[in-house]
Amino acid sequence: MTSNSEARKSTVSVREMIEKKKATKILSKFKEKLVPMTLFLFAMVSILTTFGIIYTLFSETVEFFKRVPITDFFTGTVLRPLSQNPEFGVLPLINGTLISSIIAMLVAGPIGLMAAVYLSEYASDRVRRVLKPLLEILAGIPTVVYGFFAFTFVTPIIRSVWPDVDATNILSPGIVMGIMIIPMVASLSEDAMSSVPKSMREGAFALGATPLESTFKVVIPAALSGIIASFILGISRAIGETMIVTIASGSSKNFTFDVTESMQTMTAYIVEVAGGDAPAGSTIYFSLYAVAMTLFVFTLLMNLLARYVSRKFREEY
Amino acid sequence: MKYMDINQVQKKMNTRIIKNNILKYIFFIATTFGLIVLAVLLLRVITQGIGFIDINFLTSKLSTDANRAGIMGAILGTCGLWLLSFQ
Amino acid sequence: MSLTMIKKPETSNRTIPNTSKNIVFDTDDLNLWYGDTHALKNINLSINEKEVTAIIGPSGCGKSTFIKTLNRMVEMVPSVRTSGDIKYNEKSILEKSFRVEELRTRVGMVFQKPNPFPKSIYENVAYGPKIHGIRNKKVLDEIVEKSLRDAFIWDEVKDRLKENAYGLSGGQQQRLCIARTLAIEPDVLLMDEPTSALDPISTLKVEELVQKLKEDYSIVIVTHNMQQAARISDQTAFFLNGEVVEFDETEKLFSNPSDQRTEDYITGRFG
Repeated sequence: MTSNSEARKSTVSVREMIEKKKATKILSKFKEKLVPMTLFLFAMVSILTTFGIIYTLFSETVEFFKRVPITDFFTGTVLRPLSQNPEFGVLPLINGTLISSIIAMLVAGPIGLMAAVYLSEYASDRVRRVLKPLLEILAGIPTVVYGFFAFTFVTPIIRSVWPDVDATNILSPGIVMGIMIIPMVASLSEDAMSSVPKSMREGAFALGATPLESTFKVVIPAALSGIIASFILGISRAIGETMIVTIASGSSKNFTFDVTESMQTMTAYIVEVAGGDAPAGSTIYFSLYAVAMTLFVFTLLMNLLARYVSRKFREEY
Repeated sequence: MKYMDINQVQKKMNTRIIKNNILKYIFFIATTFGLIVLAVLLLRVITQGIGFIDINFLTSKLSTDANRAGIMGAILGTCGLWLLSFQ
Repeated sequence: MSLTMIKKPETSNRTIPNTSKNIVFDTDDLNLWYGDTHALKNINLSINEKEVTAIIGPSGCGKSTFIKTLNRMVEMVPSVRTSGDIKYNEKSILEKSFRVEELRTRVGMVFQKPNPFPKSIYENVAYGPKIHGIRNKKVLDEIVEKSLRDAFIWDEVKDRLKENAYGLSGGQQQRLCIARTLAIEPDVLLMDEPTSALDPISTLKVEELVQKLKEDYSIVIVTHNMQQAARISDQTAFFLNGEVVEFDETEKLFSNPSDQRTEDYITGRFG
């Protein structure tokens, strides 16, 4: 009883203290309101910037389609912006973008996933703590460096074993892009796999499963949504990648499926045109925006797909 | 009634464990693949670039004469952009 | 002569209360450390075949660690060291040459929290046989049905074998996990507080199941529910601070404990 009433007394005094404090803190109340306002304004800045970009892209693209029919743009297989009678088919660029991204994912997907499996299922804590940050350095190297690495190191190696390959080709930048994306795939997949509860693995091990069986039949299925999302983010990174292909794949706008040839991606085209002398108001200038818009739609779709997949395949545990 | 044949399970177990051990090494190699590329890249950049870096190169401005050219302008430009994006 | 005969049961009580049965697990001065923490101290226990052995004791006394040592699950914790020996059917299992995968197919385990895989009920049970090389669909079907029947859950799930196991209630999930373990036909079932996360009715079902299963399996069950140990086990070991204080037939241990600490614990004076 005594302890009870004592406790009550102390609560009362605490309440009083709180009331007192509150009364003296009109200023802090004002601050409480001011801070979210300021933060909201900052958030608005980046949102408005995005809207600004979309507006510019859109209006200039509309201008472009006034000069070049939209069907010609999306079905044309010839891109000759600088010739006497220019043609603006975007298919060679889409083709180049997709092929380089596919090559990149053929490298980054399996290697990144295997690295993720090793880091999350096999490596001891100590090994993981060393290897993971080291691997992530790869993602921090400037892409220009990767570009001339592809051009001066990887291409000659490929050409020495496969002489048919051109000096500028899509294969080499594709591979190097893949290497650049490995840490992204590995790191995100590893996060997804590490967040699968330990009890799942224990369940598998208690049935006599080897680590390999627990990984491929329990952990990976359970982490599938995160793994697929990491792949899709990797693809959208590859689609948006610019410098590596600009440097190592040249600028011929071939519409071909032969990976030994030079191709141009959407991003590389933008670099070429923006870096060259496209007079403002010319058709070639507006074509920049049309290509940029297409690119934007591609990456947006990829990001939406990643979100959809990670929700759709989420397994409950 | 027994469905699991002990001898059969034993025989399978050898191949399963060997498979696990082989793949463990493959996974390890995959992890180090990126690191090997990283090492090659750094090695090439350093061995091929280090000879050209001296105080003149770092402090001179751009020039049409390759022997007198430097990257001071580029360094300043990078720093400027860097500061601007931090604001 | 006759005097020693009479005395013998008392002195050997601590290790082998009933020598007429076959011994499935026999530990010999088993010690275990987590880093610097001495978690198990000189454990000498023999576990009889086709009986239920209960392990009781307050939290942190090493009872879970002990049971996890029996199928070497404890090795999943880094920095674990052991000394001494555990013999499973006369073979030392702590030696590196004894393959854990093999041990765990003979010694199944059910965990404290139900941990079905995020797969269908069918796939959960078929997982074990599949990894051990059974591919035949018909055989798998039979194994799944038999295991689910043996775990007293068949009638509840037979119409929804393709549904995700996480749609089941906690008690059903736990019995599914037992079925999953039975599917690989082990000799021993280790149960680490299998009912601590369950409601009373599910607990009762699991207890009935344990009673039934001991006809075919040797069962070691960790519990901190003393009534449960008294109800379902044949032998009981009382652990305290990593030591076995008393190991005896369940009836004797609960009615007439020979150690003061056991008496204090079972009468609820601590723990």
